[in-house]
Amino acid sequence: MPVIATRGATVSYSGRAVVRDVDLAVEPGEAVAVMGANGSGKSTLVKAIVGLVPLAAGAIELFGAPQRRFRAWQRIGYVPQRTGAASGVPATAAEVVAQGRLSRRLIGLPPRRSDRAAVDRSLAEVGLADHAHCSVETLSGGQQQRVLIARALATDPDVLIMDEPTVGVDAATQAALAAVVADRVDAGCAVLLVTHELGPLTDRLDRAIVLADGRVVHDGAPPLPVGEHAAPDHEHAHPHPPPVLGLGEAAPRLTFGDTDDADDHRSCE
Amino acid sequence: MNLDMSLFGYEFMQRALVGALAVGLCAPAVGVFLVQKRLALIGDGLGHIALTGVAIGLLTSTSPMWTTLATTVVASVAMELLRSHSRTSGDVALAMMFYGGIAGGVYLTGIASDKGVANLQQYLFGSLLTAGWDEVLTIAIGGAAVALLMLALRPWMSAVATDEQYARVAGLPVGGLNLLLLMTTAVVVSVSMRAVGLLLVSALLVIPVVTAQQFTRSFRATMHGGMAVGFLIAVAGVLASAVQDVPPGATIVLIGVACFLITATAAAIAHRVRRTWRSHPPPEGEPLEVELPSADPADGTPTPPKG
Repeated sequence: MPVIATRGATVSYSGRAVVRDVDLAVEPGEAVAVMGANGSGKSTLVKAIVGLVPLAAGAIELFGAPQRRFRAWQRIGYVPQRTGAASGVPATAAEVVAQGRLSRRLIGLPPRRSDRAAVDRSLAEVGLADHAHCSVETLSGGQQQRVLIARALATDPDVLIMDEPTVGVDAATQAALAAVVADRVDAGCAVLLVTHELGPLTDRLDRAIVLADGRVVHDGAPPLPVGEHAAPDHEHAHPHPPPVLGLGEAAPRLTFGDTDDADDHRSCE
Repeated sequence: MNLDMSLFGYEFMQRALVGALAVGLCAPAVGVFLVQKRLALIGDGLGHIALTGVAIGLLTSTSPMWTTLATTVVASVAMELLRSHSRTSGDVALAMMFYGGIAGGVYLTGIASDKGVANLQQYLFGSLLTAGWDEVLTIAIGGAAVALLMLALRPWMSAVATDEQYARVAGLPVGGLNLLLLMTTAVVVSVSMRAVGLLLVSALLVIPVVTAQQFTRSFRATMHGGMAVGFLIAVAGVLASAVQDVPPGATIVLIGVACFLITATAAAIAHRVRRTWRSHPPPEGEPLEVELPSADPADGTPTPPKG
């Protein structure tokens, strides 16, 4: 039974189809990337899978249950795209990570010991144990992203769904996150990763799905980095010339389009 | 201001203090989520709607507190439905509440003009000193219920207020919690109109929270600190207004604004001083975030920000 299955999934925004007729299956323990240029519909597809965007046509099943009737949300660890906006009221890293336990807690009751332990463990896993009581606003962009990933890990999910977790994150943090995620994959957790670039996180992939204009144009072996782009079985087209390796970017980037979602790299105050 | 303790001998002062205590404690408990959701002005919007509720009360000669409660709860439900089920933005919905509410209030008071427009004044600007015991009891019970509910639901409410999409995927009852937040706001508005008045009610929801958050790092501390600040400025406001014989609502709000200005200035100075002296995490700049899981920030090659 696949963890995530979509059949003919179609999503439209005001009449315009953004995701067209996508069939996708993620088996238990499988690590799959959804790749594509900005505007190719990859984020929308994932938002549809977690139920944030309604389907125009098709069907989505989570753990074998139709998505509308799916209630076991604690089996899903979701890492949303990080928005740059600071929140109105300060919150510590531990408080944000504790949100990951809410789906396992009874509403209105205080956290159990296992909840606190999961929060501490997840923060330690992403290397932020020392920052548990720091306000998230004072953390750097990479650290904030790690907090969001720790929140998903704290849920003890059976599948991690991550939407562009590497945007605005330096290569070194990406490598660290890749190790954390690889550990979970080894422990049997499935991963669905939305990304527009290859990096340390995509090394551990079993499979990649490439979207172009809302359609699946590739479903199989992960595409190779730009440097080895000449591989004969490499299918997807590049609208842009291969990017020049930038300073501080250890891993070559596979660019499908313009990266308009450049992130503010906030420093600690 | 010289505090004369004999003031507490008067029953009206005891009542006013109990009322102010309840409002000061409960308003920030709700307000902290409104500030988080960037809905700081919603209290004001509901205050305007409440004007219609007061006018209905005057018109029908029933207790304005209950008609206000009913009107604001209905309005908050309507607003949440409008926000979540239509393309109307929260901004537009808020504007409709402001204008519709105040127009409804003035219109209905016009109809009921023989029943004392002057009466409206005490709801607009607050008149805690003239409240009776039964009214104060309602304030205290309503306030305590709201505060306890918000304290117990803090992690859930703050998750929804911080990141609604994440909360949805986590399977939290987002719609119900949003509705609950607006309804408790409506209760606070109706209950605290006696203390600070409808036009100033938003201030007690917001000012204590933004004052407290100058010095807090966590949501929990902000909530508890906000309640403490709200309590203090409400009590201080009642005492000051009794001494000087001015409306308590305006006094409470002015004290709150002064507190905010002082703490914001102090926080800015403290921040600058700490920046010069600090040596503990979170460190200045961007450390190389490599060493996992030992998390040793010693290796400090700066990574250039990505463009």
